[in-house]
Amino acid sequence: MDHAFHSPDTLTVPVESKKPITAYNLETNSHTFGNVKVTVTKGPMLSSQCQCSSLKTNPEEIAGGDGEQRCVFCRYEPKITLKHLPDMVFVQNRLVVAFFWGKFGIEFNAVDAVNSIRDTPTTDARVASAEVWQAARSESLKTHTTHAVQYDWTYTPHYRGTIFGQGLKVEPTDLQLDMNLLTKKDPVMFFDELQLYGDELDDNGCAELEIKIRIVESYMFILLRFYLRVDHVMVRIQDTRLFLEKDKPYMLREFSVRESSISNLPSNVSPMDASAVWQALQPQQVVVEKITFS
Amino acid sequence: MSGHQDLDRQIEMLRNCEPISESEVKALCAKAREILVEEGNVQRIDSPVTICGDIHGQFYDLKELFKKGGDVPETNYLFMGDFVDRGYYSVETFLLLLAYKVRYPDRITLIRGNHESRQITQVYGFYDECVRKYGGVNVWRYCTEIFDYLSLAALIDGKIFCVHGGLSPSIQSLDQIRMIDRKQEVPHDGPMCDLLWSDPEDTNEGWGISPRGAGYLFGSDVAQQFNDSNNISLICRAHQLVMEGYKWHFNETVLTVWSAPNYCYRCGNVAAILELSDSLVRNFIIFEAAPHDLRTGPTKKPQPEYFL
Repeated sequence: MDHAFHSPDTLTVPVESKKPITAYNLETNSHTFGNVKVTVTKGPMLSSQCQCSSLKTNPEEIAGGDGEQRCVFCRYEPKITLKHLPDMVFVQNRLVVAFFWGKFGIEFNAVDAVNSIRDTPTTDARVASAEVWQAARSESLKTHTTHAVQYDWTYTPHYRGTIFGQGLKVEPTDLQLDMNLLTKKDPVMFFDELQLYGDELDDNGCAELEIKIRIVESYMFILLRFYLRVDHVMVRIQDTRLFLEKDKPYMLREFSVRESSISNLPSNVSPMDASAVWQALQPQQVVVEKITFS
Repeated sequence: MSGHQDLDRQIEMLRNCEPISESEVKALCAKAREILVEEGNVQRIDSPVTICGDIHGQFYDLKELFKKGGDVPETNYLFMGDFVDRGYYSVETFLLLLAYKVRYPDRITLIRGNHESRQITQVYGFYDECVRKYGGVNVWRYCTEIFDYLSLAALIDGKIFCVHGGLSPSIQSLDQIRMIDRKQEVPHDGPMCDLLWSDPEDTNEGWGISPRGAGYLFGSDVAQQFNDSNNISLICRAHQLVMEGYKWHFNETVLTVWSAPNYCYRCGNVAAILELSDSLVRNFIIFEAAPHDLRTGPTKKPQPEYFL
């Protein structure tokens, strides 16, 4: 495993005492696998406002390490098109799979993932207490004018990664991921995990988009998993798996969707455990693509 | 003061993140109940006071908070709920705060958050932690019974209204809060629920309803009207994670304070507490998570796994 190092990108927070607080550093971690260089970047979640003033009082702290003197908020916030953001957007987090010295490849990043969430709901479900809550307020709802706030509160992404550069060709395929190979306990040469975004649904469950990567001698394997849990109501799993075997000229990308009401889950499966839920449910949809590189 | 010796010993243990015995928890909760039952739904507090938001069982970060804000009883504290769940040390966190409450009742005020509930703690960690650390449900039961006695709000010098979540359309005056029978599990219906669950909505006026089907959102006009009719200058609340530790809403009529740094050990946020002087001059204290070598808890380093 390559040694993790701290980049000069730091987050500073203005305080009324004028003393800038340095919070948590951006970390990067990378590993080379054949012609592929994998780079993982992890930082803190997006702040709620601009932090440039604290950069100016502390000029030696230059955001980004690319010479750009704008705070993280100012560099990333304009790129986000979604109106109602999840509580936690790890805006700098990304996993880049670059071929042949970075000319082309595929990456998974928080900004593209968040922007793929739609404005319109992706479920009719409501939180468990909704019925009781609304019934108890029928009088109050009559006397007060209220407005319904509408957006996809499940934060379900429509995202399977971002392809960059010229050199990757995506096409449908009948090939399957080699699950036998993936279940073998080969020695792990590189492992990392990172979250792109998360929301607690105001203590009614979770909506989380997370990435895991494992590289062993013979393959690289990435899982991008969206896990939605609405307590006592439903679960939804959307997985994108990216699989590259050593010396093969292509990757496989498998996308699958699983969904169930909590009442239909087997009783021995805890909805708190996404991988147990994944194992218990049959996929409603599976799409495999072949991504060939030249 | 031989009666305090035992309590002081328990406080010392809890400060070292060592849980006290089940029978000690039972006795502590009994004493706490005698104190809390006398407190109002809207507990009156005199300045100076330091206001804190969510802690969520991040015990070592609570110690960091006391390091920055001063110890009890030298500093007078108000904690706005959500002591438990999500973090790894909800038991030690809540019991330490409760022991302080019993030992120094006039120097620390605890009000109820939406996590101080039987239902929520069974999903988000406190229940499991009690069972794991005590081998049974008794400690969880003693603690959740005490949750029912916690005040719903606080009023500092008659000017600053403090509550965990926010406002309710069924409440126009503080007297309406004083009339609530609070000694119960947090219900889904009624104003008690709203006080612990509501959020300000920065983009809209009036009352909004969450697209999730439960939960009110209140706009700037609602806050302004509440403040005017109750002669209040500020609504101070917690409940929502803020990267910078605190956040102003609606032209400084509402303030969110968040006191769990690096929330869930991964968000990378700083935490804040608000120090109010005896003339209500504000000073925000910002702090980061306790250094890793101070905690015996989880580290950030991911462990390789054979995920599929």
